[in-house]
Amino acid sequence: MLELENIAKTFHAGTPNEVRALRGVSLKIEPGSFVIVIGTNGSGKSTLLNAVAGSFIVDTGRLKLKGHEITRWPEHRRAQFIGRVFQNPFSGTAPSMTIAENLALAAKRGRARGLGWALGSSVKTDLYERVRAMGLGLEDRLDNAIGSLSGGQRQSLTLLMAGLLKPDLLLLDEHTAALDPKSADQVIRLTEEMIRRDKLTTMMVTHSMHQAANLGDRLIMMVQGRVLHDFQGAEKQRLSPEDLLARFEEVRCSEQLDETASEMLSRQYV
Amino acid sequence: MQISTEANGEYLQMRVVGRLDNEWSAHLSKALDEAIRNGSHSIIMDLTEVEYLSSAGIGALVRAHKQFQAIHGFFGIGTAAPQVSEVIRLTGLSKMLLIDPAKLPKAAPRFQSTVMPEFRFAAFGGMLFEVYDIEPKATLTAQLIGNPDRLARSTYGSPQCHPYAFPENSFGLGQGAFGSDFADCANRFGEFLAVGGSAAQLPTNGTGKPDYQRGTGDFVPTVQMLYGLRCEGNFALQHRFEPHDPTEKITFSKLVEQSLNLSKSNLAGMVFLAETAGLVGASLRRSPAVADEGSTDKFAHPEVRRWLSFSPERVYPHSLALIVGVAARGAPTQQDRLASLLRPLSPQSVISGHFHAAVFSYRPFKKRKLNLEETVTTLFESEDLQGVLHLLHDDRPIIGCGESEFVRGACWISPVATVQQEGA
Repeated sequence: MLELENIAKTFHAGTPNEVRALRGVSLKIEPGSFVIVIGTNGSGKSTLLNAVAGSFIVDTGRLKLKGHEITRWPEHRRAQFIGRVFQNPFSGTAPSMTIAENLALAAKRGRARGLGWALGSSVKTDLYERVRAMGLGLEDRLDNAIGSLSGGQRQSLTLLMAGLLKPDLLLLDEHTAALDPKSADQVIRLTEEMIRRDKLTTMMVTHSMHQAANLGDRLIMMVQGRVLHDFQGAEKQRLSPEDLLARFEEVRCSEQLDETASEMLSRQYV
Repeated sequence: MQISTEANGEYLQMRVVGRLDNEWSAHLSKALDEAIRNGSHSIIMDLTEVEYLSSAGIGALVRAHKQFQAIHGFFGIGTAAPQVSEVIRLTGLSKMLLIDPAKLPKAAPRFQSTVMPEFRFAAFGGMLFEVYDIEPKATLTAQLIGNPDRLARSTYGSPQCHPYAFPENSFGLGQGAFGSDFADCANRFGEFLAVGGSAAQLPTNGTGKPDYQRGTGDFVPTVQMLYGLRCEGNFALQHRFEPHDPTEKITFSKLVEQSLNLSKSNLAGMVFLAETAGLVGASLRRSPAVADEGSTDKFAHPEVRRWLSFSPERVYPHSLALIVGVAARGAPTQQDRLASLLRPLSPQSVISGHFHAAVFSYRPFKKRKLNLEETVTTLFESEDLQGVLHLLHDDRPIIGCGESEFVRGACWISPVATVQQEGA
C-alpha cells in the first residue's frame, strides 16, 4: 500500500537551526495494517506522517502509495487517497459551518466540486445515519455550527469525516492528545471500530503507551529521525505499556552514553 | 489512622490509633513491611486505641503473622481495646495473634533461642559483621574459561562456545546463554551468573527480559559459555553485614575488601545476597557472537551505544541483589591467570574483582545464618527476576555515579586455592 524508500528531510538546512527530522526511513506498509508510531518529542514521528501526507516534499528518497510514485505530488493531490486527523480538534473542520456542511465537504474530498446544492435530502439522510452510528447523540444537531461542539465531539466528527470515503490511507497524528481522558477513550473506541469495519490502512502517532500497546498490529518506535524498533505480529501482541517504557528508558540511557562513559566502560567492562 | 513505633528492647512496639478497616489495612501492612526492612524482626502491636477492627484489618494482622513466621521473627498483639480482643476471640485467632503481656519476658527468649548457632561479631570499616564458620578449611578451584579479551574487537564463534554445568557446589559468571548449542544461542549471548544450583541470564536478542534455570531434582543448570569464570568447592564462612550507622550505605568496594579480610586470603570467590540502595552496572545489548559489519572496537564512541546498556545513575534501589564473583587483593598482573577478568573495584581500593548481579524485588530474609541453596531457590521460585548486570565502578570525576551501594545482607566466601585455564 505505502512504500517509503530511505526518505530524509532536513529543515532549515545550513542554518544554526538545522534539524535533521528524518534521517533515512524505509518502510513498507501492507494494505489493511494498523501501524502505531511512537517516539520521544522531536523523534520525527509527526514529520513522518507529514512527509506521507505531502505537507512538504522530502529531500531524498521516494514514496509510493497504491502503486503511484507520489514523491513529488503536492498535498492536495495526495488527499484523494489520504484521510487525516490532527492533534488539535480545531483543525480539520470549518468552525462556522454546520456539522452537515462539514461532512458534505468531506464527502467530496479529492473530487471535482461543481456548483450545486451540497446538502440534498438523500445526502442528509445518509449523514444522519452515519452520525447516529457514532452513538454520541449528535445526529439531531446536524444544523448546529461545528464550532459550538466540545473538543471530543469535534474530534469524533473529524474522524468520521476523515474516514467517510474509506481512504486508502488514514493518518492520525496524536488525535486524542488534546482531549480529556473520557473523550480520548471515546475517540479511540470510534477509531478502532472504523478501522476494523472498513479495514483501513492506518498510521497512528500516539504518546500514550497504553494505546500503543493495545491498538494496532504493528508498532514503529522512532528515535532521532530513524526507525529504531519495528514490532510486528506476535512480537507486537505481547508488548505491554511497561515494555514500551523500558524501551524508551533504554534510548534515554544510550543517549547519555557519551565519550567519557565509553572511555570508562572500555576500562572497566570486560 | 495513626501508626507510631517505639523500640522496646529486642522488640519494636507498634501503636495504632483509629479504625483498622479495609481503608487502612494496606497502610498498616506497609508500615509493617517498612519495619522489617529497617531490621525489626520482632513486633508487638498495641491496639488499645483501635476503635474498630474489620475483617480486612484482621487479614492484615494474619498476613503479618505469617510473614514474620517465615523470617523466624515474632509478631503478636500485646494489648488491645476490649472490642478488638473480642473480635479476635470470636474469629478464633486469639492463639495466633494475642500474646499475654504478663508472659512477654518469658516469650522473648523462646523465639530468640530458636536458631542461635556459633558466631562471632566483628566491626570494622564502618560495618558490623556476624561471622559464621561453615567449613573453615574449604577452598575453591577456579577455572578461567575462554578469552575475555576477545570481546572488544572480534566475534565469538562456535569454537569458543562450550557448555558448562553449574550444580549446587559451584558458581560462576561470564558471557553465555541457555540453549542446546552455539547456533541456538548465537543471538542471545549475554551476561549470566550461576549459584546455588540456579542460573540467570540476560538475552541480547532485544527482549530485555532475563531468563533463568532453576535446578530441581536431577536437573542441573547448564550454560553455553563464551568466556567467564567457574568456581567449584565449598564455602569456608558466611557473614551477615550491616552498616554501623543505620543511615549510612555500604559501598561495594568496601564490602568486598572487608569480606576478603574475613576470608584471610588474597583471592576469594564470593556470593552476596544484599538489599540494594542502588546498583551501578552495564550489560551487553547485542550478542558478541553475531558478526557485525564495520565494527572494530565495541567500546569506541558512539559504537558503544549499540553494544552496551549502561545507566549513568544508580538503578534498582530497594531491591534484592544476588551477586556472584571473585576478588583479588593487589593490582592484577599479566601473570595472574584471572587478570583478564579482574578490574579495580574503585580508584582508592587495592582490590580488584569481577561481579555479576541478578536483581529480584525486595523481600525480607530471616536473621542469622542462611542456607545458600535454599535462599537462592526461594528467590528463583518467586519468578520475579528483574535484571542481570555486570557491576562496575563509574569513576568519572564529577559526572560519574560511583559504585553500587547496599543496606545489609549476607555473604558466602571461600579462598581460591587453584586457578585453571580452559581453552583460549
